[in-house]
Amino acid sequence: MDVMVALVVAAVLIVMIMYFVSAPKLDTQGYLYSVCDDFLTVAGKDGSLAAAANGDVGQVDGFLYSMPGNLCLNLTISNAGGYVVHSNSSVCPSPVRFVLCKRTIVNYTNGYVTKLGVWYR
Amino acid sequence: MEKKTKAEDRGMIFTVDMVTALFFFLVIILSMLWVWAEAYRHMVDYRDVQSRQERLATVSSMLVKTPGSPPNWESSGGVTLSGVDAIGLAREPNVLDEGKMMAFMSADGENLRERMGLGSENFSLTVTEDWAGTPRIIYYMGDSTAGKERMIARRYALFNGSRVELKLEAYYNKK
Repeated sequence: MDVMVALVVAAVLIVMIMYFVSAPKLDTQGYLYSVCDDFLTVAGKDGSLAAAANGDVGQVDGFLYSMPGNLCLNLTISNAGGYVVHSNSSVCPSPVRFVLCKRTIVNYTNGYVTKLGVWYR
Repeated sequence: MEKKTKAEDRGMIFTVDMVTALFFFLVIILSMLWVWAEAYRHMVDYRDVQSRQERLATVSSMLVKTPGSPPNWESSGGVTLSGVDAIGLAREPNVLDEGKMMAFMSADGENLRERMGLGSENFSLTVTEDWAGTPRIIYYMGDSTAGKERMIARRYALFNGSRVELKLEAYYNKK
């Protein structure tokens, strides 16, 4: 009886170990970096970030909402003093792991720091 | 004088306990072999998907971030892309060039696949404006019927002053 129990327990443990060894998670952080970088580069070049810093947030928010539904984004634009001039995010649960990109923009003589967090829904 | 022995008096090689133990032993060994084979198959699949994913991400980055090699490949390569080492569609990072797009669309698919570094995978490329609202496809090329499995990379760029989504899809069959 003892041997049977030991064998069953050993078999269960071996199956569990093999399952966890054989099902590693794909590294998808690289794709989040790509999306993050694309967003800030495009929004920086088409003037959406500068416009948002001036209070015209329609363009940048529209871009944010056009991102794929499986992604969540959180955009924050702060001035040099750290005061947040604009912040918006997708309606999403809080992230466990996320990618954060930063970009500095200069609008006339004022500098702004843009931060974008991206994670999977 | 010869003595006859009854069956129950003889030494028994296969007792019920031994047969049961052998049965369970074989079941466990066979189960472990099966689990090992499955685990190995998953590992091979995982490595395959991982390498394809990395390759697709690299190719999509080359398309939206770089002008290609040489930078004026669109005017020197022709349809066969002779002398072209790498394909890029950007005038500057995340700004697509119309001339490069036109050359890309008119180039031979096999040569494109090779220059892009996609290996044996078939691909399709879709450039869409207003992709989240009323999508307007500006450019499309490729063969979406080849391969049962599909992998997608979505990138974002500017094209003629408008934001566009560049969707690169790779099609393949599992090993």
